[in-house]
Amino acid sequence: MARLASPDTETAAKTPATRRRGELSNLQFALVVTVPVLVFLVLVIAYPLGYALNLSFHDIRFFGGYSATWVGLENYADVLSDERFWNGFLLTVRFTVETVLLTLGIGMALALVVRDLPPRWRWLRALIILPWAVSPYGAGIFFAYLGRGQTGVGTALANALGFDTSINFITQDLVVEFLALGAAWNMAPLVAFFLLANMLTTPPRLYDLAKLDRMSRFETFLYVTLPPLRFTLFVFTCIITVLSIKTFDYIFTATQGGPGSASSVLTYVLYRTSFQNLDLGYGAAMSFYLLALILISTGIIFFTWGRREARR
Amino acid sequence: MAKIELNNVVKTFGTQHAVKNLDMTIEDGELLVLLGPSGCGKSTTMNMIAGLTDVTSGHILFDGHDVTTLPPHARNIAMVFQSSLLYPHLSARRNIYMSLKRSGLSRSDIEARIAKAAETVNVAHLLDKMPNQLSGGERQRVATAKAIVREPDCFLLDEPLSALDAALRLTLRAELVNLQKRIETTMVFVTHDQVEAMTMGDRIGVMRDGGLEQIGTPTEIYNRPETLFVAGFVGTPPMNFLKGAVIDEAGKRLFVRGALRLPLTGESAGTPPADQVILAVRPHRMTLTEPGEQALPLKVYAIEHLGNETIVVCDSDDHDRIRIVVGSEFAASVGSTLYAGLDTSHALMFDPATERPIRAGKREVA
Amino acid sequence: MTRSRITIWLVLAIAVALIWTFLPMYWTVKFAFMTKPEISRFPPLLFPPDPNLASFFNIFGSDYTLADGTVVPASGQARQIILGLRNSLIVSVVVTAVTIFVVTPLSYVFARMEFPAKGKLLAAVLLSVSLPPVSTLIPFYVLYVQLDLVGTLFGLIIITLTITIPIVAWVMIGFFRNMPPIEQLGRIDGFSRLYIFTRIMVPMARSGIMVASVIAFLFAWNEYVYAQVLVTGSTAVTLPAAMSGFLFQAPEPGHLAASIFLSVLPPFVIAFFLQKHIAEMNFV
Repeated sequence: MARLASPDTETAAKTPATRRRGELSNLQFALVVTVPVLVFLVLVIAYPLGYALNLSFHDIRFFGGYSATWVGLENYADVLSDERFWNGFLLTVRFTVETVLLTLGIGMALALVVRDLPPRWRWLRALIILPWAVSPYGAGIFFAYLGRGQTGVGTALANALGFDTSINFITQDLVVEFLALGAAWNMAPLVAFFLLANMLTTPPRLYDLAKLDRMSRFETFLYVTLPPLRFTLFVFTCIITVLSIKTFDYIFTATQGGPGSASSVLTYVLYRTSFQNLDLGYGAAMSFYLLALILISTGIIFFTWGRREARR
Repeated sequence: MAKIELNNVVKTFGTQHAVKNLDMTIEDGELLVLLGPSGCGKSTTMNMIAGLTDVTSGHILFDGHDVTTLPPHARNIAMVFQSSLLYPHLSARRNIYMSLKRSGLSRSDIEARIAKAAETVNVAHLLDKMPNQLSGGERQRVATAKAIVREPDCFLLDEPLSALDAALRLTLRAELVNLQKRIETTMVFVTHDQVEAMTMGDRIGVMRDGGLEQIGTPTEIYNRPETLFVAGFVGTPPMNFLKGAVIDEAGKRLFVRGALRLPLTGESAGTPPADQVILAVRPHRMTLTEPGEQALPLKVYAIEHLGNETIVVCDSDDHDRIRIVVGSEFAASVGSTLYAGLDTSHALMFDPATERPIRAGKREVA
Repeated sequence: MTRSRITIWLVLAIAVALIWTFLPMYWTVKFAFMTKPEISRFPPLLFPPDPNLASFFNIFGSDYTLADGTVVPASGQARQIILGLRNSLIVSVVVTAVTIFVVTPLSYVFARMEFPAKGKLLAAVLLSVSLPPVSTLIPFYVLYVQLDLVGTLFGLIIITLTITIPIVAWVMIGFFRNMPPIEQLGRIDGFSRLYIFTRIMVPMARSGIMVASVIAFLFAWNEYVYAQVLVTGSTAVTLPAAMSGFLFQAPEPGHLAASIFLSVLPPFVIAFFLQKHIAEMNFV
């Protein structure tokens, strides 16, 4: 067997640089696998950001030939006095808050239902996950047909029950709530699965304890089921917040921002500005407000809630 | 076989000192147990001996050769990890084989070695099972086979038994000691369980906060703890500590605490007078006695019947917990008062400031 | 766990959950089995009165004769749909393969090794998850025009990777973090880091890699925003972009429903069979 005392042991000890020849150090190994990916990500993520930043300081015109005029922070200032922007901002906030609440609530409900399934019925769990596999644009199409008065399920059911009326969910007043419901339909299954996985790790004895303490069903849920789920709920609050604020394809296929501008959330206002009005500089400035909104809202969630969870 | 020396070994993680200026020699063929609470640096020390963790400063020598910068496999050691870690996706046989894959031995030599190692720890019938099909004890034996198949100079075991139930630990402990004596290979065993340390070790190194508190045979550690920490950490039930003072009265030394006045005898008779001392005494060295100035009044807190003896857990007047071992037929009600005497010839005196024993030899010779 | 008994409430709850899950899909997908007049009837029908497969034939370029002898002509978009199906498969498979290939070592390193600036690099990778595609569209479009990548599969693959890599990295870092300290065992046995990673960690992480592949595939398969802008109408069109023709230019609910039905089938099959492993990812 190879003895440990090779002749160069002494010198190796004195020159750490030569240690473990032929083997990569932690740092080298890390560099080899991360640098190419990081360079790629920097190129394809930092470049567009940098480009957009540059655009945002310019007034871009296509009429009468392409022209870019340096306007400094003017675009940023203009956005703040833009009624469409503030309308979009409020709609985004409303849509996001509602989506987060609905997704977590429905995800929790789904998890509770499939948790209590007897073993023979467990395969139903696999069905509950399916909406998660539907793309956002697909969900948009589904909910467009589902909610419209002309084609919707509301009208169909009302008429089947003998009421001669049209029930439309895609209206000035209801469209955001209806869209939030659709977004929740799309995302709740994933939340349910993670909540379920956590629920199954709660010791069954705790439920026996709750029974001995004569807790009601609601109290059992509040004091036994819920506490271990708090971290998962926090993480998903962050994830769904980000996804809701940046969602575009879902709204695009569901309502195209309508009716009127009742569902023109920020991403949609941005899309109109940049792609329909071709006001690229202004759109770029707006996109940084959007980015700021995403970062600030996750920041707020983290500082008001996440830090407490992380410490436990 | 190897004698392992650690010379002034230091390990820092960032600004945090995991191991501080450690000097230690592990003799050839010895079973040394590193004992200490979690976070004391014992596992870090073992990882440095193994070569898994770089040493910040200092040197590690195997048989006088500096191995400080050698990678693990060049040190010819074998290691068993916490919970007897095995490659989960490989069968027991492949797991053992992995120890020799890089050894350059021929296939038939390897087969023979695996068979022999499996024979030694009785796992021949388990070789084709996957780790998740093995029980905790079986997994431990396979991990041991994986270690001995290398015929290493030194075995390193990092709390291999900690995840097992008490009865199984008892069996495997004896098996490991027996094995180590048969193959006469140096073994370092890390544990936080002082019973495990006492029963297994030829010597025990007690660590705390990255430093070595004391190293010695189980008897030395038990009878002559060199720090308050060691005194309190080793032994079941743990040592009793009594705060008090030592005074000189007509040439005789007395331990004084409230109304208690105990003449010091034996070695402790040489303790120099001091305002503050801690008297440490094993629960076995205390007895129940009549009230008097040589008796410590105690309030019964709990009674633990062990069958062959009974441990009376009491509160002293300043709310230190005091344990006394008495006969199995003892009975008393919780909250009742009893009086304990103690044999000061078996008591140790500690200086509360330094937490070190007050040496009788250092008293004034006058 | 509470007692697993089938009570009337549980049955009711299951029924509600199933209706919630399937009604939105059913409502659109039923159009695929209906004729155009049936679809536009008011009030809307709850069930296809006379289910037929015309739409499925139409979107693949075949006429279809109904039972009553009416001929439903093939869709003019058939070529786009077929092309889209093919391209979507290519893009998704390539993106999944590349993502897994680069992200597996990346997330292993981030999960289990210490090196300088690790925290900041990780934050940067994960932060890119929160970039809205709408804000990066214009710069990408300009860049792609300059590089002549508009309307190419290669360009779409590159841009899709910017979505999948950070998300999959996030998922896999969590997975690798939860694995036992096997590297130490490997180092004691004398294996190099590369060997430990490729021959020990990767085989051990098989289930995690599988779920990560599914996630990458789903994101690539479902990507719509970039595709709509970069490849619509070109030979590199993907299924979602091709489908949107039925939604906007010349609304064809039947054809739209049939193509959506096709587009959700592969993700459904995958999600159905892998749902057990999804929660193993531990990324939360």
